[in-house]
Amino acid sequence: MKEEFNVYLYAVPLVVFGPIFLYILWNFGIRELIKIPGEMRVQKKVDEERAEKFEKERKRKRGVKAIGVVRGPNDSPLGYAMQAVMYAAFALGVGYFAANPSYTFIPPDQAQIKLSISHPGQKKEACVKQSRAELAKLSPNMRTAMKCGRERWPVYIEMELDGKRVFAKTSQPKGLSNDGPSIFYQKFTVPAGKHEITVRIRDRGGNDFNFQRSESITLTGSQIFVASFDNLGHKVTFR
Amino acid sequence: MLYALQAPFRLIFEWFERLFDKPFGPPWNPLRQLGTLAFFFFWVAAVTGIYVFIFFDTSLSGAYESVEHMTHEQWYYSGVMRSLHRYSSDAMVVTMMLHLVREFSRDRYRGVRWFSWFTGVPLIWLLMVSGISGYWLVWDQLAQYVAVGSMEWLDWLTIFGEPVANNFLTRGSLDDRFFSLLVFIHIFGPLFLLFGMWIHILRVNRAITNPPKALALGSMVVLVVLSFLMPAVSNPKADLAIAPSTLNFDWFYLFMYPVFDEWGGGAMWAVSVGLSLFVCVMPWLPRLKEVSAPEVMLDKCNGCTRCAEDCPYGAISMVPRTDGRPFEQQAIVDHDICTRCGICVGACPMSTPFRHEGKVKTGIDLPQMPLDNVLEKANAVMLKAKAESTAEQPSILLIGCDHGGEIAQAETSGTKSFSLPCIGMLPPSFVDYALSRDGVDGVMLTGCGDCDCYHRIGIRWTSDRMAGLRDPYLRKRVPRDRLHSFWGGGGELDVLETEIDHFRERLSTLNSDVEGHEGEPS
Repeated sequence: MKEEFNVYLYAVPLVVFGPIFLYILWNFGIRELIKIPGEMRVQKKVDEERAEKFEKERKRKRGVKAIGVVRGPNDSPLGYAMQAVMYAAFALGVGYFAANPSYTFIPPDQAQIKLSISHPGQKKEACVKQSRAELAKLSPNMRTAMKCGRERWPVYIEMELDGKRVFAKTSQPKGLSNDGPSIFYQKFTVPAGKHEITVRIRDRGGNDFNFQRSESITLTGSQIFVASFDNLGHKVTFR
Repeated sequence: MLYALQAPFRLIFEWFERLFDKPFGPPWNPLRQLGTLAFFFFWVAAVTGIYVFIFFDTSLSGAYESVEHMTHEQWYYSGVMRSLHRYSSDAMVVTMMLHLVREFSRDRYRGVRWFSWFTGVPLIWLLMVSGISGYWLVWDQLAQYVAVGSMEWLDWLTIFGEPVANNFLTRGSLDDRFFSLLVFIHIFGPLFLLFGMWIHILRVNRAITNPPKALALGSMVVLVVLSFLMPAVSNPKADLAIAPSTLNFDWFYLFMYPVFDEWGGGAMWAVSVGLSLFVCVMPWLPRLKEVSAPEVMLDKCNGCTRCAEDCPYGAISMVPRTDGRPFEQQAIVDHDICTRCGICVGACPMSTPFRHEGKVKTGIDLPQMPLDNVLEKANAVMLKAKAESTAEQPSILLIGCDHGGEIAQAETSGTKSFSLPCIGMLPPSFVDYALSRDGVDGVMLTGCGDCDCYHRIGIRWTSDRMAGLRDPYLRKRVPRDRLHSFWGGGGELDVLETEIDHFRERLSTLNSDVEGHEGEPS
């Protein structure tokens, strides 16, 4: 069935909030902003006229002696030599700290394990078929055959490394209606070598884990190992 | 607490400024040109960046190789341009941060100056974004480290549906499209930065954005030499399956990342945002107790425009006459951008102590320090100086400003002082008055340091007025050898004292010459 376009849904907020929004923008800068180019042109002209007038005066009175101590730039050979020393000191400072001292993020004999999982929990309510009478009560754009709750279960994940639980967290679904994925991102720095890794996931409430994977892995120095979840294949992945 | 911090910073800056004044001279002293140098380094980075971008391959697979080609195959040109790009950006961080601390130490961030201070804070963020995004583009291990760190930092906010750091999770996670986004950030960051820099100086009249040519040339030469001697090079190529280990690190831009590794995203956001907000509100901690802005006395204002021309902040504008007097214009003061320096009072041709009935009246006056009070003060100080003067200690009227040194410390027998909000407030006719028949033997002007006037151009206008270069002029009849000036600021009080001694000797000689002439038979 073709849904009707309800013009009021769009027009009313625009009419009500549009002017308020524009009024706020107008008072918070736009009014001043649009004046700027004009003001700049006028100011530039005035400045040029003033500068011209002042230069004329300066030329007319060339040779007028300044009063008191006037310390100009030091353009003596010794001055230039000392300046060169100071420029060199500045350059050395900039050049050195632009690349030194070096920083060690992860020592070469260490590896990194990243647990990165973005997984939507299962829906809390099952979908229900709506009757004709129920559909008739709804506005045209809301008439769908199945009524589905949007809220999802929070997802709980724990990770064990060499028999020790190193990560355990429950993450709420994202979104205003709690209908988005639950997000996990954690890094672990471990010594290179052999490790036992286990990841368990619970995404439907209760106490049982419905996904789990254990593996023995050998990590080389600086290697990045990623534990993730394949949302299409519904399995924990190790890469 | 902020006051307590200002004093040591001020002392440190004064010490270094004095050190740098010797080889450079005040006009070329880089510490007095930090803002203009930051602008200059921005332009160097912009021009070299455009050049490097022409040869840069914006694809993920070609970025590293193109930068390597520039660095090693064309080291003598493109490589130098790359190094210049890096070093000028680093130099901009240095000059910008020093500029910020220096303005704080000089208390040039409160009152109506809040605008420049406040708009300067986003510039720090924009500069950091511009610089950090530049490091991403090289796509070496440092880029990988910085990109992943930045994304993890952003992800802490949980504002994205999926963690952005997942774009850098494994080999193949990152695609050309996302890499192009990084390129765009590096282009638009500096554009916004430039826009912000323009806003930053919007309220400054006659803003100077270029350093003196010699300083610009010297800075450019030293950056080029540095680029040849220590060319910027990349770390090994990025590989998302390999964790970056030991990195050659640019501490100017990336100093936050090791802290982030240590503290995590939450603490880093708290520190960076908290610090920025604190710096933003500093102008109101506490708020500067501002006195009333100058008032225009229409019965004395003939609309000559001199006050508007001399105002360092463009706070005075000329509008059509409202009182029916036969003049075209009158001055009005914008209280929101006026710093109450009084330079306009010094510019007004009506500000003269000579022609007055009763109180001195001028066209524009400071309510907290009317010109009449200045005259009273000057008369009182002159009386004191004359009362203590001797043949060896001629009377000297020392006039300073509230932002220079404590000139009262330079007072001696016969030398007495008073200060004004800015030396630019002093009308030249007051010098004429002080040296006239019943006045003192000499007038000494002092205030902030050379090229470092608290109110930007008070010293310049005063020097020009006294030299007869700027209206209102010091009249020709005033004996110039009885007028002296020294601009040393708070850091050179000892030199000021020496200058006063020399001036005193000169005046003694002049006095004895005059007495000699008076004793000669006509």
